[in-house]
Amino acid sequence: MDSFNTEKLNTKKLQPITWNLDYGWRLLATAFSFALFGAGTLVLGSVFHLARLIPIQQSSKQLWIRRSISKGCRFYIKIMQWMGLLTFAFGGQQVLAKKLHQQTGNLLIANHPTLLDAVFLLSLHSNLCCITKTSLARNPFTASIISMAGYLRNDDAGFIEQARHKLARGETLLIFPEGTRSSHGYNLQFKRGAANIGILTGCHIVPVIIQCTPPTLQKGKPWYCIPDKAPHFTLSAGEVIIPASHVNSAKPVTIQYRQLTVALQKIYRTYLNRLSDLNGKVNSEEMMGSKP
Amino acid sequence: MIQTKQDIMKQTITVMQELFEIESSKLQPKARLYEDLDIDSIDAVDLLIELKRITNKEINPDQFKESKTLEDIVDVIASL
Repeated sequence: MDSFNTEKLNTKKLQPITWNLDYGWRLLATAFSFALFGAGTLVLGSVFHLARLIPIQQSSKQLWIRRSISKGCRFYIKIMQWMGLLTFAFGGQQVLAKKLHQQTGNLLIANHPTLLDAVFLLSLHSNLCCITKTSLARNPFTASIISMAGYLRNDDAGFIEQARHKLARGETLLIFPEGTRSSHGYNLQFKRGAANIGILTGCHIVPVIIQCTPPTLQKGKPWYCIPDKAPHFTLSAGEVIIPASHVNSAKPVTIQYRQLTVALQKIYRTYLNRLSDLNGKVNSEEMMGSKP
Repeated sequence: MIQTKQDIMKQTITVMQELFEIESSKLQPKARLYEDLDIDSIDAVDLLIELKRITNKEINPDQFKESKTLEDIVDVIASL
């Protein structure tokens, strides 16, 4: 009985120390990751600038640039994983990658819980055309990469026409329908950009569902606000969405944008609620199992 | 036939109800297009096309873009 008590005491004493070490290490590694990201974008940006001088076709240059971005993202995630900053699982990596590449000329959409979502998606697809918001296109770190990779800006007047052109050429577009990182938990609020593209081009929409537990790198949180334990990311693809089957085509397109936006929001809320129910179950089972 | 501002307001409100299914109680002259009525830049393009069709007037897109409220739109059309 006595030995049991001391054992209990010891673990109690020890636990905060190991926890602190892990926390301290992750805080340091997080700072390093941010610096690495900045440095990475600067290096890639400069190399892409130099690539302007190489007299090869613009389209093959763009392909090369997008592949480099994809490899860079894969490398970045590997480093973060290696440093113990995160773990991840793809809803069957082969299945997910295949689904993303399957058809050309479609629109990928994803929820946006953290800063790393685009990095994960770019790492999975070697020729993705991102639709970016103005602030990123103006950010000195990302601006040149965005223009050299031929990404679209959602504030361009002819943005839908450009999207149509790219889809027709077989490119896969990526948009975060929330327009920025989530700030309503699972109660996602979509802007209409994704639905505008879906209705006006008729392209198929592939929904990617991203989960991060515990949440980290959320909107409005400073970089040093890291969770108590390393977050686990899961990415999975849902069923392909055909815009026409979610709207009343007899209505004006302006109504159809709204109908499709509501439908997409509903699809995501359903997926996320189902996932959180599932996770809740697993967690409670783990708790039950851990009891002697 | 001379259209009064009231006529134009009526027409504009009808168009908005058709295009965006906005409750009529929200369609006040001072209602802000983006903040109050949730009309984005893509919607504005469709709105302009429909207003041109229904009023039979050549509305200048740049002038139209400057409109912040429902009243502003009516003023632009009335000035033509």
